[in-house]
Amino acid sequence: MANNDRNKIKRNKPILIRYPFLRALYLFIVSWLIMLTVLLIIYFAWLREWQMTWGATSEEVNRYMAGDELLVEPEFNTTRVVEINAPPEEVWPWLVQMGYKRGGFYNFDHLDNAGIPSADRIIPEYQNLKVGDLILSLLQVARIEPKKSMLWVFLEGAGGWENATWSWGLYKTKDGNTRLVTRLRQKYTSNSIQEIIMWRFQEITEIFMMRICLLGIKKRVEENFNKE
Amino acid sequence: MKSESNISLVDQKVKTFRWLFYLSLFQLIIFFVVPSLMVPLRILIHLEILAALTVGVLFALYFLGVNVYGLFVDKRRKKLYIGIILFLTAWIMWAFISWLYIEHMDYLLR
Repeated sequence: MANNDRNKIKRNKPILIRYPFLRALYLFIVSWLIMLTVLLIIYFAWLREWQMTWGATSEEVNRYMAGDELLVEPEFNTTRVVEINAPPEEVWPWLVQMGYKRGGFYNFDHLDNAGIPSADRIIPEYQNLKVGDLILSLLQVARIEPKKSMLWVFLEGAGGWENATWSWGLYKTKDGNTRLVTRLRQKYTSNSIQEIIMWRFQEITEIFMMRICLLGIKKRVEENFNKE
Repeated sequence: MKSESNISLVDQKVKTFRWLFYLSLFQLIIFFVVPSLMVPLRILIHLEILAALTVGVLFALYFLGVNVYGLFVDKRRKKLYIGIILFLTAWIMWAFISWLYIEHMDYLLR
């Protein structure tokens, strides 16, 4: 075959075949799109329900909790539960001392407590929590029923979190253990496409922090309860 | 003539794959480098660990897929891909175990 003919054939090939980099870029984008589509299908078909109700029974999911009436049909509505092998009165002190630069959030302290380690003991000076106290700047205690429940609400200025409530409940089981229930509800603002994407991203990642927090409380309560 | 065109086809496949490999590696590196430009050094290591345990796993899985594909396409660098696959498998296993036993992973929570 003459060189001219060969070059002609080469030129006639589609651009993606002629340039390996472009073909690779095309494969890269397409494979990501396929992977994200598959992950989104898995998330909405199964994972979303699981993460929104992590550890909770259907009774716990449907049960009224403090603050439910404040938000009508929030898009983000989670009920997560952990069972703690100790009675509610042993769990309560660990809950009321939670907060920024207080007892911490039993979580990634460098991210949510200015690097101060979360408490691993009950701190007497943080036990008198009352309505109006701040847990975090712009997160305030709205209701409190000692050893039973507590409601935190986000204040004006908290951005998209303004329409959110965070509720806690302690329920004693027949064995004398505690079902620690936390409910985080949020009505999404959707003023822009960025906000919609941000809320969806937050929706997927928030479970990591909440799960660590709940397991952190469980670990601390059980360790201290067993010491006594 | 026939074998020459076959060789060039294989070469092109390898070239394409290598670009895909570099793109995937680049995105993985960028994912860890970008936070270092945005947050103070004090919390950087904690943020990087969190990133490696969450969204980073997604990038690791993607890169793992690319390297497994590389085993079949680019046999000349088989050893490199096997090494990377072992590393990525260890990373994904570490993330999985960390999430299973997070309340005991004190080094993560400090």
